[in-house]
Amino acid sequence: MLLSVESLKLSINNIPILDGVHLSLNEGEIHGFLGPNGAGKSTTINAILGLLKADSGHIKIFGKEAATDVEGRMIRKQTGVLPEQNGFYEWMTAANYLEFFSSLYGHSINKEKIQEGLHRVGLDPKNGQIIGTFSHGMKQRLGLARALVSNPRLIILDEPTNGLDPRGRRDIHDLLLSLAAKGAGILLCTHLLDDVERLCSSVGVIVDGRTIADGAVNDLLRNTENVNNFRLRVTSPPSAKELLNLTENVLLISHDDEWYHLHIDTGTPPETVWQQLFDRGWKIAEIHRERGGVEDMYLSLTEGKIS
Amino acid sequence: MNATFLIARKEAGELLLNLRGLTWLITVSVCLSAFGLLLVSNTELSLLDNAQVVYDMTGIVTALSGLLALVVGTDTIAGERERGSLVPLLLTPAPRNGILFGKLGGVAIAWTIMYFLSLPYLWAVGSTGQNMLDGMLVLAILGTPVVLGFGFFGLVLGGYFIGFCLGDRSRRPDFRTLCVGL
Repeated sequence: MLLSVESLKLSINNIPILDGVHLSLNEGEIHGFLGPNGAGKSTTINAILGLLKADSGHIKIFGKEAATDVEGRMIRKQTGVLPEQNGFYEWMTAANYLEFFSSLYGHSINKEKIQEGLHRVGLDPKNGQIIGTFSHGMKQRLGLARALVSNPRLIILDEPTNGLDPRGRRDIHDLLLSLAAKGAGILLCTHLLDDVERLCSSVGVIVDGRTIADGAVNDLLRNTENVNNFRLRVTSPPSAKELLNLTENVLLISHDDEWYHLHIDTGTPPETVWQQLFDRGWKIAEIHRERGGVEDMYLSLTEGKIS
Repeated sequence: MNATFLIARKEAGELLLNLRGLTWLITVSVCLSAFGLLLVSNTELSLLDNAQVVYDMTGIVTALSGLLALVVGTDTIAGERERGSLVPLLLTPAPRNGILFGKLGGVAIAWTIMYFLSLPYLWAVGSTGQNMLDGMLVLAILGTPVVLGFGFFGLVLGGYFIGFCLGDRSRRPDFRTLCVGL
């Protein structure tokens, strides 16, 4: 296991920030780390990276707890991070910047490797263009290039696609998927649930400093079906008039061929709706509860838990 | 390449290639010009003898360099933290001591630049070079510990500000934490 966090508790100025965070990440896995603003995601990441000291709990990276400075350095050598606070030396060129960080990681890097690193994140700055003239998206890409400069086994990314254009986002998605396919473990902290849906095989949800869900995306989706949305197959299609006069508390979302997607208001038992539709002559062959996406799952998990 | 050397070189770039660093150097140069002009006027009016003027100038250079070192030292920690560039640096495998000494190296480079910047002024106030060698020696021997001391104080101050503003006040940080800021 690349990363495991167990029962992590942390307080700052005697104010509890984390109160039982669990997390695990394996090789070749992309783990989404979700939670509302102020839930403690960045604090957890800072604790994992050794920037904040935990009150209790265990953080193991590559199976070891970073108890000493030397162990911490060994861990940092194999870890690439795109932190929330992502500042740059604005007077440097992108190539100089990557060369500087690569040297700090103990790699001597030639011009071809630097250009390769920049191209990998879709960055192609003009010769001599300093970072101060870069757009937000270009800086974000450079931060990602810096995180990957040492070919890390563990990659921790805080909002990596923030500020990127759609094509840029897609490119970064492809890059992350290819890195995971090569065995790197990626911890992805993001608010963009599309990213999670596309990239992550597992997710952890944290609310008020506590992990409320953690596991494979498919398992969590199964447990958090969208209770109010249904998919019906109707053998004799109802008329347009009938569709407009659906029973109270029912909304037709869409329909294609025999399939009708309905939303039933909370509090209305679905069985009563089926009976009413049946009484109106609908010949219902199949009923399925709609399976929600990651967004539904996230909203369902965090509903009423955000203080 | 050694992390200390790399960081010190980066700090030198921060001072010489960055607009912020250049602005400080130009400001210090303008101050030295103003003080130099005053001292030359004193010499012309025979109010101070030549040696006195040279030593006064070394004192002024030391004071201004100390101020610059304090600013550079504080900025290299607190300023970098504010601009978000300290955290990526701390996440590299560079040892904490290496980062600290690299930052101090940056202060030493700033002092070296100031030292050479002050030479024309020493030459000018000393009536075209009289007592200049003595002045340079005094500046090197007395100025170096003063300026590096101020620079180190700036580093600690920067670290303290970070700890005070952002960190956990209920914990007592160790000395190195205080200096590096995290």
